[in-house]
Amino acid sequence: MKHLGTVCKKIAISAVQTLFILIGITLITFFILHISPVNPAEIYLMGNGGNVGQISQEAIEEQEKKMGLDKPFIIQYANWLNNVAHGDLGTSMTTSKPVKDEIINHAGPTVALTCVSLIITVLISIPLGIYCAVNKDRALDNFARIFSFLGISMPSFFISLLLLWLFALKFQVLPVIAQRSPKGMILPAAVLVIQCSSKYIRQVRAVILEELNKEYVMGAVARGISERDILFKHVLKNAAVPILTWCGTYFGIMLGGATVIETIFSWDGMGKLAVESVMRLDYYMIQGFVLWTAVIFLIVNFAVDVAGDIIDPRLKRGRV
Amino acid sequence: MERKKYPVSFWVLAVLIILLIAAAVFAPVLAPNDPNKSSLMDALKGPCQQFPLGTDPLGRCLLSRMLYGGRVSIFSSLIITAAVFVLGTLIGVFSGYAGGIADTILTKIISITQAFPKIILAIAIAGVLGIGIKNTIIALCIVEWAEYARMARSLTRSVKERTFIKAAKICGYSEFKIMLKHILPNIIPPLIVNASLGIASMIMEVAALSYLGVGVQSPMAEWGAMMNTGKDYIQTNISLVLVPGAAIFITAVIFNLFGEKIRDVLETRN
Repeated sequence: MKHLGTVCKKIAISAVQTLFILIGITLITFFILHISPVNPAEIYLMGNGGNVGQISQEAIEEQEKKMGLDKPFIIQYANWLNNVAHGDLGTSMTTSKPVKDEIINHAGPTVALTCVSLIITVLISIPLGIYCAVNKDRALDNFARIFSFLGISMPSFFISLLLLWLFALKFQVLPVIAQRSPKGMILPAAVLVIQCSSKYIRQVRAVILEELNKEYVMGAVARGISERDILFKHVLKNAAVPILTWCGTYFGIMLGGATVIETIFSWDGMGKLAVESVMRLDYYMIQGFVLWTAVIFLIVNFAVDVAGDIIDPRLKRGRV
Repeated sequence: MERKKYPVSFWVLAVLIILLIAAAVFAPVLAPNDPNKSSLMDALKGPCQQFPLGTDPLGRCLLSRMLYGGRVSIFSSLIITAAVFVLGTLIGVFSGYAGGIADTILTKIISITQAFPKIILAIAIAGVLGIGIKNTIIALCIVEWAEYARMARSLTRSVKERTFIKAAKICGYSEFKIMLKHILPNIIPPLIVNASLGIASMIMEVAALSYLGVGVQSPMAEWGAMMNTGKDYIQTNISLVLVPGAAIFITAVIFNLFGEKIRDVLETRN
């Protein structure tokens, strides 16, 4: 019963914190957009075929009224917040479609890309990281270290353009524009896997090496426990929490939308949507996107926290 | 504390970094041509005597633009890293040492900053402030300080309860002096390691913003912006992408290797 109580308390505390952070993030975004010198009403009208200079002041003012931009900043924010609480995220200023629909539309490709890339990243990085730590300074370890070092030293758009050039233009085996097909997913997923696994392999390797150097491992060796048991029953269990935390971090980063990668491969996901919205200063769309990434960030953090408690009971008692 | 000798590789890398910075500083002397002088007659030329690496679609010398681009990329990332390192560390130390309500508020602000989609926030800020390298630097500082603050805060909390801090308190030192003279020197090595490993990723973030078109203003040369120009010609002239890409890559490799060496030196010393 006591256990249930602590879990409830934990959930309540993180719910309050979540709410606080969500309001903070959206308020800041709203403020940044508000002080922008660009008028979204003007952008809206220009997007509908008008040209700069041709739009009359009255038309702009009318549009501002329609969008609620004539009201003071804090009222605008309060209105938006109230609508969000009722499940209405507003209307995109460029496409005139509800933001909610746009997000649902674009979330699919990003979720698909994320799942594929994350699974491959985990399948490569965790076994390889463990292997490299156990077989430190052997051939495969050196090879993996060079790979991951090169991986972290290359910007995603450089890897993307190189792969695009190589596979889509030189050998012409893959499409240049992805268009939501499984074949089109190969290149963006490859870039994400290269980028994330080059970091992840290093992290896994480092944490396993750190555990292997601890005294309890020496003690276990002295007691004659087999190497296999030491690795899988003791070392991995102790290293599981940081390994899981990083996995969660990558999940969050990928779900937030790999902006540059999605833009390069025209993968119609959240990242591309976000870049386009920011470029057009589409207020409500940007707000919707920020809300999406913040919610993901918080859910992932919470999930990692809970999973950590389950794996390592010491964390729950606050001893570590 | 016994001073350990720095390994030879450390000095080799230090020299390479000095060379990189020197190439950036002396770009006007080293560049064979004016980086912004365009002439459509020379557009998209291959390497030749006048243009050692060829030209871009506007007929500008690629090598000169690469050298000038290094100025922007390297110096802006050094400035950002230094700024967020100082700012984040000070906020983190204060938050961790002060505790109480100040700590709670600062921790929340750190969480909020970290929950933002980084690149998107930076684009939005750069969009609001206007396109230009100065605003890009400001935008990335606003986005990046939180990581250092979080790290400095947790390090501060771990040394706060140690006896030498208690001793300093008993001696009647001011809180300010304890923070700067007793806590800071004890937590600074891991933060330096983090900063030196962060320079390369900062170069890449500046380049990413320029690549997306919100970093530098044209015609200023910058590696990311050069790749953005090059990507439209990827089918016919891959060198437009390869030259700035290789520049970013080589610079990042050198800074990353140097960061790792600093880590090795600082860690073995402790």
